[in-house]
Amino acid sequence: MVQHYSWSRKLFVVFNYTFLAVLSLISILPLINVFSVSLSSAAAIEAGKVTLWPVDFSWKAYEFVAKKREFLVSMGISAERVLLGVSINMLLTVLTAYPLSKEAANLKFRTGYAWFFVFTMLFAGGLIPTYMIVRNFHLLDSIWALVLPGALPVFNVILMLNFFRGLPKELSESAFIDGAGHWQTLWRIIIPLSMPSIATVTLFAVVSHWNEWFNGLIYMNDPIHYPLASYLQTIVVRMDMSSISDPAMLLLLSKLNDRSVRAAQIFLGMVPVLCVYPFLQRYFMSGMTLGSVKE
Amino acid sequence: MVLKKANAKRSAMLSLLLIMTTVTACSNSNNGNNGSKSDTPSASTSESGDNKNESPPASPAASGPSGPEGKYDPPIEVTTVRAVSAAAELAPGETFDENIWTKTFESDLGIKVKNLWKVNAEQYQNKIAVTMASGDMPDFMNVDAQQFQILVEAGTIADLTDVYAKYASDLTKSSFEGSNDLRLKAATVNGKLMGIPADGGESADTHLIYIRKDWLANVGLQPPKTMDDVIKIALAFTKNDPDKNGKNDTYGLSLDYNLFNGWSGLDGFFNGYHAYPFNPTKGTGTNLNFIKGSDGKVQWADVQPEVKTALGKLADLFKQGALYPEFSVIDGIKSGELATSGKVGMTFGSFFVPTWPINNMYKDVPGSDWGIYPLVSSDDQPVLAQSTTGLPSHYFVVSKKSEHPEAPFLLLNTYMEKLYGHFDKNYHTVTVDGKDYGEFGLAPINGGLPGNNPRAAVAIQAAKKSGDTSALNDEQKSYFDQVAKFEAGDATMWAANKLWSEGGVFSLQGQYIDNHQVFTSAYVGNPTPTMVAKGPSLRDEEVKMMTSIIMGSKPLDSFDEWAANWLASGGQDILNEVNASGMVQ
Amino acid sequence: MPLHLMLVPGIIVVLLFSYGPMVGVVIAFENFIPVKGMFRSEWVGLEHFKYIYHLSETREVLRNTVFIALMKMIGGLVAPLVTALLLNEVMKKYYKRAIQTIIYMPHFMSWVIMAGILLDVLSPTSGIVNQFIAWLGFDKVFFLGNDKWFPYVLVVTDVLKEFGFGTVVYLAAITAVNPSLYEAAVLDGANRWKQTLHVTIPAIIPITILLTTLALGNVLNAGFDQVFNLYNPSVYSTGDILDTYVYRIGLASAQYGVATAVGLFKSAISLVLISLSYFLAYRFANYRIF
Repeated sequence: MVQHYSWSRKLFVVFNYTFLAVLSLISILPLINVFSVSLSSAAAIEAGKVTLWPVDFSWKAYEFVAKKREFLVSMGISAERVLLGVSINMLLTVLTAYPLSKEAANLKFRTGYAWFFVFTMLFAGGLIPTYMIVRNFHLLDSIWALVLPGALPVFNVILMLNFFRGLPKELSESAFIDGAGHWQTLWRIIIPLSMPSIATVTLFAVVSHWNEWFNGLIYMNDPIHYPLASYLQTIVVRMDMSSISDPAMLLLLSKLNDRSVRAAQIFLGMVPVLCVYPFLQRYFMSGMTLGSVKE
Repeated sequence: MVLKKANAKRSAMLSLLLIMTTVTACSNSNNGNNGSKSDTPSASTSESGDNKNESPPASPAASGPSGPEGKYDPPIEVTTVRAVSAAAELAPGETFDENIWTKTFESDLGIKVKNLWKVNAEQYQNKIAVTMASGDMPDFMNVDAQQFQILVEAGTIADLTDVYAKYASDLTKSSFEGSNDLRLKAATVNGKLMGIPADGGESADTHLIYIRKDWLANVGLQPPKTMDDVIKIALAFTKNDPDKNGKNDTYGLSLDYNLFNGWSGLDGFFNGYHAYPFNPTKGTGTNLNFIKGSDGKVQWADVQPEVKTALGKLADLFKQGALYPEFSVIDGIKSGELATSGKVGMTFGSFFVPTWPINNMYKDVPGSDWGIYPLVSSDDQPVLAQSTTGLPSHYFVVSKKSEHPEAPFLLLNTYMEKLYGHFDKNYHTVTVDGKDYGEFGLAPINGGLPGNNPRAAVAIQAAKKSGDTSALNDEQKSYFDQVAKFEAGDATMWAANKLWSEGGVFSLQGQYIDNHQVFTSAYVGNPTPTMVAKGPSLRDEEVKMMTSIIMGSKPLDSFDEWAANWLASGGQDILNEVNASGMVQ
Repeated sequence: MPLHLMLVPGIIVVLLFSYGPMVGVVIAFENFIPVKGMFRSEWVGLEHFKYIYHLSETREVLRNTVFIALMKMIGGLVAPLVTALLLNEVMKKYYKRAIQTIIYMPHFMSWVIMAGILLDVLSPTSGIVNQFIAWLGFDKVFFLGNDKWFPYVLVVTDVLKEFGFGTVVYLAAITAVNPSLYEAAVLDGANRWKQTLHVTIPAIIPITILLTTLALGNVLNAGFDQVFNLYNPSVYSTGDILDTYVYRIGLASAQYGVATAVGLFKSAISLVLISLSYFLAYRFANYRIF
């Protein structure tokens, strides 16, 4: 029996490791492709020779990017945006999720509140009215235009409130008996216990702020204020030749079409988030030990 | 939202159009249009006090110019908005806010140009929309033809008829003339000039045939004289191993899903059979070609029997393997890579092909050389090359609220003067540390002299024959030098050589014009209501029809079914509207 | 009372930046001209909705949209779930972490880039996938040019791109399972498979229901960016979705009224579906999703 068990277990483990390895290989191929392109010469790229390995290896693209002011500035703006935006996101998410995790008996109109928030996930006013509001608050061209309109990510609130609800009720009840109020309970007991979910939701918030590009393009009045994602969006677009009628344009076009430089910037743009991720991931683990309170 | 994403993708090209609509290669001293000499500072004599009491919108400010020349004192400020490309490189120290142009405008004209906002070109459309909605219109701005119509209807832009007459210099005015003042007519609504055309008037989109000369030699064929030769070459390039690598891995004719395009399009192929269809897969579906019948009524070019004939030939080419089997899923970038990787040896295309995508091949691929040939006919009738860029696609419009509706014309006068009147290279391109940076695209306004490139090519070649470059202006001289460099062995100048030298792109395109071999649509008006409403879905039907006939998934005769269907599902309405428009030439 | 107070900041933000702009839905009923503004543009009633309804291929396009979106939803539910469970079985921490990091990378690639790569990978003449298919002895498949295969290509590539991200959520939920439950299961003599079946899966059912319900709101969002970058005229018949269709037919010329009408239509459908699943979950599982 024991023999049989470990045999099938072994088989499973081998299969599992292989399968996951293949899966991650498939996942990483596009990235490797971009990385290889960023390290190859223009001639090799144009000739379609670059797939998984750099051809005519060169660091030129990275040297070029390192000197490109727009890239560096936009990276800084993105960093600022993430710091500011994620702090606000998390604060509001926790503050909103905690009351909503209570039963209707504890919070009047709970269901009403919940729908009030969920409704905004389904209906949006659209580009022009949103722009008008941001403009009327004089937020245009400032970092706040990128942070405030999405200050409360409702999807994250819902995830969070479900995690809160999963926590043993006895904990907060005993806190109340000890004389703690809601604020104290939230701060002293709920938040420390919810680190895994907070880490997850933080990751979502970081990623969405880092990747969001449309607002940057629309709310900023000057490309030098673009966050990185908006900036990358402007260089990623593929050129289609159907309507050019000017040799001077083509001069510029051939410059825009420098694919290795584009690839280098795309790759570098991903690096920060890829760095944040394992860090937060570690947090999941420590969050688990904190959460291991016996019922 | 649909919209964000939609418009994001909307126009990869808008960017280039907006930043670079300028300069169709600058200057000429041949056509006698020497603009007024606004560079003399004495012209700025102030006439202060003369018309102080008039209301601002109706007339220029007190101490401003009263004609095409002059200077504001004290300086005025006009606002505009800009589409920029974040990826484009600017010369050190130059920005879209402050550059050689804005400095000149301020010092010579007393006009400060202020950018209310700048946006990446692909979002220009959205940004214009939100700007208009929030009522923050600048004094002048660049809009596309559709926005132009909307603004005219909304009544928020100024009538420029009088300021044009009074403030546009002779050079500026001359730049809008030619081809029956078509461009001015397009900008005129109910007898009033409502915008300044920003482009149009060119026929640089006429096709040429580009063929790998080394492949021709390898398969032992001569450049084509007829369409049958073209087909023979395409088949030989497919089957006779033109690259001598012993593998059956080449295609005869370049094609991608766009069908009509300046690179690997079929426009020139159709023209060879006297067919003039035009409806790019990624186009608007409203830029259509019409032919005037003998009864004076127009017909749509795409449903003519000649189109079917040419489609039959293409289907045969596909069947024989001369077209890339996956052409229906690849775009121009990808078909360009097929050419640069030596898989395709022939394409139809417009003037820019030497500069993209095959510009580096001569340098990078040993032995490769592309030849350029004029279109050929399928019979003894002369071939006509079609052009669809005669009408403006963009306009500069001036807000009704602007206190200086004349200011854009003064800016434009200076622009034309610096780039066409007395060419000053500093306003076109500057070289810093051996690298060229475009300056022309930084100007907040732009114009051009149609037909400039072919004229430059003639001048350059004449200078080459005579050895006397004194008649060339700076810009022509720089092209002349590039060609000379190529001849001295500089392979990076290959594209310049192909553009300007004898038998090159602009010579051949000039010959089309001189020999009256350019086909343009008989309809010269803006898109009709039915075109706007039904155009895109009709375009999809047409693209599907052409693609499936070429790929052989539908018989050639399905063309007739499609043609009848086109008439029934809106085509007839379009024809009626066009015939009733009074805009048929 | 403190509970209500905690909600105040969130409510203010949502009122200002989400409910405020909703006034803008009037655009769906107007011949909206930006210069004239929202309140002075011509009122056209249901004209835009009629326009969409009467577009010749609306029905086919709706069918494609729902089919592709549903398939993606199912794939997007199952793939991360299975991956999370498999990852949970990996004992080597560094391996687990490495895999977890890698599989979520494609999430950051834009579809423009992914499309370029897929074109190469799926090409019948030179693509690696077809070389493999040929090696197995099957006929090569023109994945991006064949209207039978195209929707599945969309689904598979979308799942591959996004599953790593979903895995994070499930893994976090699995991680949060109280270890004492496993200890108890071990004492009862349950092997890993039984533990998974009786402890892990029940523990993550709530989050699964939750995510599925929220995903239902996307039943008409089949992924504009992806389809737009991958499709071509030969697969319009099965690959064209609501967003790409309306874009191609009208939005390329910035018809804001039509765009808003489409958005409103999609929102209304989502609202109905989400409400339905909310009440079903409540009625039958006595589980409140939010």
